Formats: sequence, C-alpha cells, structure tokens
Amino acid sequence: MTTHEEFVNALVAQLPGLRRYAVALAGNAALADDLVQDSIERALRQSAQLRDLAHLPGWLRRILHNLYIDEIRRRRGRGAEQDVAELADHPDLSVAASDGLAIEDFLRAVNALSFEHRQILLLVGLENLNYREIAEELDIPIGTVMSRLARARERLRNMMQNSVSPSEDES
Amino acid sequence: MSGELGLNESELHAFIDGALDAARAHAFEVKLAADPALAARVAAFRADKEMLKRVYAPLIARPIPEKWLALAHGSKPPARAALSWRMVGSIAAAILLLVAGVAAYRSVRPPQSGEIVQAALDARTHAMPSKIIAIEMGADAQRYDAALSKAVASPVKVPDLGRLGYRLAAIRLYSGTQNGGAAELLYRDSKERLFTLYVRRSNGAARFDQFERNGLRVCVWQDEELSTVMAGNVSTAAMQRLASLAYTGLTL
Repeated sequence: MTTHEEFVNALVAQLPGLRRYAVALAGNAALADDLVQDSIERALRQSAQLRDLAHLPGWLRRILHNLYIDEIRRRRGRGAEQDVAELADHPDLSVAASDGLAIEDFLRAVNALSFEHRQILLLVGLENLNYREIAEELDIPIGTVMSRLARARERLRNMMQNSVSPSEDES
Repeated sequence: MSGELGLNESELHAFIDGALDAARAHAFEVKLAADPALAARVAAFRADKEMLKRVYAPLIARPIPEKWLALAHGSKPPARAALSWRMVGSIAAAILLLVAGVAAYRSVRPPQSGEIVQAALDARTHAMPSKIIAIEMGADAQRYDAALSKAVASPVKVPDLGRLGYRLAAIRLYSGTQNGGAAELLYRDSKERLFTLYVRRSNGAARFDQFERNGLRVCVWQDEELSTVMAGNVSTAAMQRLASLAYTGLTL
C-alpha cells in the first residue's frame, strides 16, 4: 500500500509534465495553472482511489481533463478566451526569432482544433502514449483512437495550409 | 468506423507513429516509394508532429510554483486513506446489515443492494480498475467474453448493444469486492455518450429498479446469479430498452 508521503513525492514529480500538458491543452498559461492547482487539490483528496502509482500520470490527466471540460462548459457562450499571441510570446516557449511567425500560426491552428482533437494530438505527439494506452485512458476503442487521430492531423494540416479560421473547429 | 477515412488513412498515421508491425510497415514503405503525393503527405504530417513536440516540449523545464509544492507537502492523508478498503467495506457492510435488520419486516431489498449502485457509480466516475481491456477493431468477441467470465467467475457474454447505437469501448476489471471480482463494460454511441454496465456475482436476492442518481438514469437488475447496474444519460424509455438488451445479452 502506498503511503501518503510516497504519493506526494510521486505527485510532485509529475507536476512539470502535467503543467506542460495543461498549457498545451488549454492554450492559455493562466488557465492551465488554475487547472493544475485544482488537479493537485483533487488528487490529494482522492489519493486513496489510486491503487498503483504507475497509473499516476494517466490518473492526473483524467482529473485535469474533467476539470477542463467543466471549465469549457462554464465558458461556453462567452466565446474562446485563448490568447495565442500571449502564449507564443511566452518566455518558456524557446522559439527562435526567425520561427516566431510560424510558431504563432501553429499555435493558432492547434488552439482552433476541438478539445478532443487537440487532446489526441498531445497524447500521441507530446506524451508519447501508444494507441492502446490512449484507448485505455480515454475509454474509447483503439479504432476510434486511430480515426480520431487521423481526423485531427488532417484538420491541423488543412489549417496550416490555409489561413486559420478564427472560429473553433467543433466537429 | 472512420467515416470518410479509409483503413489506409489510419494505416498512414500508424506508420508515422511506428505502430505498424514490421510486415505492414514494409508494405507501406513500398507504397510510399511509388507514390510521391503520399510521400509528401507523410512528410507534412511528420513535420506537424515534430513541430508539436518542438513547441511544447521545453515547457517541462518551467519551475514549479512554490505554492504547489507547499500544497502537496503540507497535505495530510485524507481521512479515508487511514482505513483500508477492506475495513471500509466491513464497516459499510455492518451498517447496511444493521439498517437492513431493522427494516427487514418492511423491505424485500437485499442488504447490499445500495452498495453495488455506489460501487458502480464510483467505478464510472473515478475508481481505478485493476485492469483495463482496450477494444480492438475486428478482434475475436470470444476473447472479451472469456475475460469477462473470468472476472466475475460466471459464464457470461459481453452484450452487443449495436442495435441501439452503442458500441463497446472498453472493459474495466476490478478485484477485491465483497462478492469477488467485478467488471464494468463501457459503451459509447455515435456522439461518444457513455453507457456503463457494471456486473458481478449476485448476493442472492432478485431485484429490478430504475431511478435517477447524480444526474444519471440508473437501472439495477439482479437475479440469483448476477448483479448488474447500468447507468447512462438516457431517458427512462431508452434505459428500458438498453437494460433489456444488455441483461439478456449477458446470459444468452
């Protein structure tokens, strides 16, 4: 049985990765920090439900997803509040000056994707999960992982080739 | 399943992600060498994948705010964590037995009928299963039947709810509940809405009930062999149809 101290140490070790994932998912550094803080609080409250520390990264992302979906629902109707320029200028995004515009276009395209498309691109491309691990984390069949990923990449490509529409991709 | 995207499209991305086996990867490479347009698409998708990593990866080096560290290190174990699950189960069972004893003369419900509903709803929202079985396209259904039967120690089948628009998305297995192992079948419809079927061996008494709980429609269906709890964001009528199909499908 995991002790509370072991849980806390493992949790702290996951925070840099969770925070990075949150920024990429939310497209907004301030919102991401709120989500991570709320995730820490919820994880500490519900630590007894985690049976195996090996599952901690996925468990934390699940908590963060749920909190983010709640937040999206709260904000729906008020429009997207993602500040791409703010994110592109973020000092921690180590972007060469010559790449600045390309990066901003890329961030704009990623942020214009639907939540589910952004999520699957990040789980594959940033978190390096395989299709089976993603299917388990999202409770969807592997076939759906593959078709959703194909659609997400296709949409991102289309947006990079054409100029990005400001309206959110909802499908 | 993939709509306008054929198998080749998924295969293309599986190739990019190194998810094809050696033979299929080689076949794809041959195809790629003969098709410059396809090669260009693969290169573009690869470039986007690289860009994603390049843009976001450095964020991992940001220092963690002190207040988060203080929050984590200053926390105390949650009160529930001090008790083992077995103890919680024993206490819950004792309370249930006491309540049931007092109410026995006016109730025909089995003493642990509420407990399975709570276990099912906890599993649906935030429990950590001991094992998750991801569902593969075209996989042999008997494999899933066998895993389910083993988990609940009873010969059962994974119900096919396709007729009502729900397809199997995952199977989660839980060990160590009072009546042995439990399994949770997760189904999704075309809009990805979740319908769950939680099943384990019965504690004996028959029961059928349908009600609202936590904003979900819940159906409890229990006989001498199996206890099942089904939950979804569906109407009463839809639950009736789903529950009938699921319950009969389990034991057919």
